[in-house]
Amino acid sequence: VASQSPSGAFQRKRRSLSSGQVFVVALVVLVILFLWLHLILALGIEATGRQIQIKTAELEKTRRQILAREQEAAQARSQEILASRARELGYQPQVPIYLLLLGPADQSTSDVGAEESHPPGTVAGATGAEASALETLSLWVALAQSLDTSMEIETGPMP
Amino acid sequence: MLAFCLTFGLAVILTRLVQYQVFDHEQLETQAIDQRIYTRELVPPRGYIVDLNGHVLAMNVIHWDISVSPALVTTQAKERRQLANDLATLLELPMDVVSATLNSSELWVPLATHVDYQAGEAVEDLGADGIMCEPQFHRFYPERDLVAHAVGIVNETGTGYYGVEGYSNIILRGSNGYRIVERNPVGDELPLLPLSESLPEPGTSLRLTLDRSIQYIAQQELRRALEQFSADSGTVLIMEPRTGAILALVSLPTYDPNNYADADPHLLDDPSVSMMWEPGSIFKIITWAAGLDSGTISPGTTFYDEGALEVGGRVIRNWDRKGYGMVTMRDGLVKSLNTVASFVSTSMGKERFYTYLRRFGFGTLTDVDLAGEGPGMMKLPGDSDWFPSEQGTNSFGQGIAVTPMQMIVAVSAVANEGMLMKPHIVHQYVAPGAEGEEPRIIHVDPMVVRRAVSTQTAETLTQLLVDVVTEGATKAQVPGYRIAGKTGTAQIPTAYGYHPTDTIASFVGFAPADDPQFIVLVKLDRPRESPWGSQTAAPTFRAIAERLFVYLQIPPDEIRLAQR
Repeated sequence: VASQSPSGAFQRKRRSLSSGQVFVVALVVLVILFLWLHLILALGIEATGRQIQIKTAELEKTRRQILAREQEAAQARSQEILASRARELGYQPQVPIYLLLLGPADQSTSDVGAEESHPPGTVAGATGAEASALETLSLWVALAQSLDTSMEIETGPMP
Repeated sequence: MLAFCLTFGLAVILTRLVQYQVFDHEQLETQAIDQRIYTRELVPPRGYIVDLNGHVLAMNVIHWDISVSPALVTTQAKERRQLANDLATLLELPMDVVSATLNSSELWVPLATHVDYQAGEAVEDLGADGIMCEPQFHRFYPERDLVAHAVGIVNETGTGYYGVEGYSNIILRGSNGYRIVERNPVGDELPLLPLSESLPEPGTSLRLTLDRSIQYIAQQELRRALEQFSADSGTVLIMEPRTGAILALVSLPTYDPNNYADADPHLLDDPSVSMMWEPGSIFKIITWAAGLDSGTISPGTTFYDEGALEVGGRVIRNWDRKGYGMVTMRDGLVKSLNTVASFVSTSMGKERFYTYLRRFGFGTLTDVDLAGEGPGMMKLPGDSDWFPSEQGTNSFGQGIAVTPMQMIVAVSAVANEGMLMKPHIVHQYVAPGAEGEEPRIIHVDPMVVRRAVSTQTAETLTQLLVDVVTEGATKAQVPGYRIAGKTGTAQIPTAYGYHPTDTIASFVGFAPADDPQFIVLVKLDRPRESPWGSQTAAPTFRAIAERLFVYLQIPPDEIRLAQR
C-alpha cells in the first residue's frame, strides 16, 4: 500500500480549502452586490422621495400664492371698494325721473290688453296731434319735476 | 480577576439585554414606533361661499403659525444673532423677545401666530433649522360686514357658526384625512411612501341666492333710514315670492366677520331669523287672508265701527281711538282699523282663525337654511296661557311674536297666488369631483310647503293691498308701478305692559303687484323721528324698491303690460 505523501495530502486539502474559499468569496461578493444594489435602490428611492418632497413643497407654495392672489382679487372687487371707486369716478345712484301722466294711471293691470296700454307721458285715449302735444308737455313737466324732489304725496300717519 | 471582571460585565450586559428584549420589549417598541411613526392629519380646504353672480363672500386664506425648537437652532453666535434679527424684522417682534425664545431651554416654543402670508413665506424662505412654519387655513370675508349675518363666521377650530356657515357647516367643512409617515429623529418626514393614507374630502362650495348688489342697496338704504329716523336697529329682507329665494338679508348694527372676536356677541345672532317681535298691523294681511279665504268676509262686507270692540273681556281700540262708522272690509284694511281686524278674527271662530295662522307657518320654523332660526311664539286655544281676548289682539299682530323671516314668507304666499314657499338662501351646492372630474353641481329647486289660501283670495287681497299703498301708505308708492303692501307700527311689550312711546315700525310690500318680482320687509326698531311705519318704514321701502326696479330692469307697469 503506497502511503500518501504529505505533499499530496496537503495539495488535496489545499484544493478543497480553495473551493470553500471560493464559495465564501462568492457569497461575500453576492452579499456585497446585493447590499450595493440595495444601497443604489435606496439612494434612488431617497433621491426620488426628496424630489417629491421638494415638488410638493413647491406645489404647496404655489397653492398658497394662488390663495393670496385670490384674496387680493376678492378684496379689490368687494362691493365696498368698487362703490367707493365708482364714487371717485363720479358715479352716483340714479335719481329716478318719473314721467307725469296727465290722466289717472290705469290701475286695473290684470285686464289691460296691449292695445289699451300707452307709453308713459301720454294719456290713454288721446289721439294724433293731441297725444303728441300732451307728450311734449308731459316731458317738460317730467323734466321740471325731476329737479323737484318734493314729488311725494304726503299723508297723515297710519299704523 | 480579569476573568471575573469579564464574566461580571457579560452578566450585566446579558441582564440588560434580557430586560430590554423580554420585559420592556413592548414598551420600548411602542416608544420607538411613536418616535418614528407620525400620523399627520390632513385638513381639507373649506368650501367657498359665493353670491348668485359668483362674487366671493367667504374664502380661505393662509396664516402662519411660527414656532421654535431652540435646541435645533444654530449654535454659531453670529448666525444666531442674524436669525434673531431677521425674525424680529419679519414678524415685527421686539428683538429681546425673539432672542429669549431662541435661547429658551424648552423643547418647543411658539413664537408668533396669525402671521400674514407675506411675512410667513419670508420666514419659510429663511430655511433656518429649528424654525417651524405651519400654514393654517383661515376664513376670509372680502365683503366684510355686508353679508355678516347671512354668511356667519368660522371659529379657530374651523367650525362654522351662525348664518350659512353654521347651518351648512358639515357640508362646507368636508372630511379630514390622514397620512401615516416615518420621520427621522429630528422630526423631518422621510422621503418614503406613506405607510398608510386616507385622502381628505374637500368641502362643498355654496352658491347663494343672495345678490351682493341687492344686499348693498338694502344695507345702504337701511343705514340711511336708521340715521334719518334715529332708529336703534333695523332689518331688511328681500325675497323672490315665486321661489322663496332670499335676495338680500340685512340687519344693522352689524359686525365684521373677519374680526368677529372684537364684536359685541349680541350682534352675532341674525335678527332676521333669531329675533322675534310683535308684528303689529302688517299682521292684518294674514287676518284678512284668513277671513277672505274662509268666506267669512268679502271686500265689501260692512261693519259698524264704534272705535272700540270688546273681545274676551278686553276692549280693542283703533290706533287713533276714533270710530269710523260704517266701513267695508276694504276700508278697514286701508285705514288699518284694529276693531275691524278683531271683528274678522272673532267672526271666523278661533279654530279656523288659528288654523289659518298655522297654514301661514306661524309658530313653527320656516326651515330656512340659516343657523339659529327661532319659531316665534304663538299661543293656541287650549294652551294654559291663552285667553279669549287674544283672538282679538292677535288679529292685528299683538300678543303674537314672529320672526322677520316668518312674516315675509307668509306675505309671500299672498304674492305667490296663495302658495307658501320654503325660503332658501343656497342656490347650488358645488361638490368638488374626483381628480380630473368636473365638480358635481346640485341645484336647489323651489319647494312648495302648502297652499295657504286660494288663488282667488290671494288676488283679491293683493288688490286690497294695492289700495292700502295707493290711499294709505302713500310714501311707499313708486310712480309707474303698482305696489301691494301694508305698514305696521307695533308697540313693544315690556315686563310692565307696553312701552308708552317706543315702537317697531315696519312695512312689507311686493311689486309689481300683478307679477311680483320681489317682496321687501323693512323693520325699524324704535324710530325716534316718527313712531309710525307709514312715515319711516314705508319711505325706506320706496327707496329700496326704486333702486330694485332699476337693478332688476323691471319696466314701469304700462310698458311691461304693453309688451305682453
